[in-house]
Amino acid sequence: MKKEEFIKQLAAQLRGLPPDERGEILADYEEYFEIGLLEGKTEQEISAGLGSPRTIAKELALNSSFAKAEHKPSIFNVFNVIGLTIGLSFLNFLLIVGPLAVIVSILFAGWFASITMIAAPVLQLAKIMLDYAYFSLFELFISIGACGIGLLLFIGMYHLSKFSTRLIIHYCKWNMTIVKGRESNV
Amino acid sequence: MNVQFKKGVLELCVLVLVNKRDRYGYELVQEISHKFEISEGAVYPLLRRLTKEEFFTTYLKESTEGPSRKYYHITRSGRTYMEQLIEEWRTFSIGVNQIIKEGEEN
Repeated sequence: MKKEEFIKQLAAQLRGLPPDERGEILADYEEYFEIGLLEGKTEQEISAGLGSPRTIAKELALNSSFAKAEHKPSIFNVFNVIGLTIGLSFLNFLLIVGPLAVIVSILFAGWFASITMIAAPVLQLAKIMLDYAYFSLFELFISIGACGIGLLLFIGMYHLSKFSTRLIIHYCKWNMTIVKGRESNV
Repeated sequence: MNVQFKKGVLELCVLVLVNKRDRYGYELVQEISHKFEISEGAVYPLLRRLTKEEFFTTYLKESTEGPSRKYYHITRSGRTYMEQLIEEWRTFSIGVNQIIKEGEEN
């Protein structure tokens, strides 16, 4: 990342801070870039060493809220710190659990539907046995048709499940590298 | 290495280096990263926190080349805090070393 891009991203991440504090922080990093350039480093090398502007901004936000809470322990400040601390790990939690919940519910719904449809003729027969007056050829044919669709869905769900298992494993691995990346960023 | 652990060590190193003489951010990062691996970006947030807690004061100084630099100077309460951290570190490292040594003897 070039210097300008780094500073721009950091500035965007620090929107919530008072303007004078934000200016000071940006000046610190500009100074760091300029000295690094004098020492013969490239802008890319310097920004790579600094890590992502997002991580830096989080670190700064955590520090300043903690300092505030220590100096002026008000309910609001304490909530702010709790929010930030939870936010840091909760984001990772959500990143895993959110998509996982969606995939699992889709799979569950699909399997449930296919098994019910396969069982439809049996259920239809059970209904007829219980009360012969309800016998309807039309309903019987519909249920046999549903059984066919259910069998096809069953095969489809089998492949979809295999595919999503692979997808989830890949996703978790990818997420782990992000979380690890953030941790080594200290 | 454990994140929180490394953060604590980084704080101690920064305090000791600034106690020796006034330093600017870039210099601190260089000094420390020669000894062990740190994320350079984490040093400035740390310096800001220590300044906010009034362990450091800052002043700008012109340089013969390049931009003027923000220097960090340790305060009396900063020195007290540093001494306390050094003490904690000593107790801690003696304990860990003992455990390692006992482990190797067996």
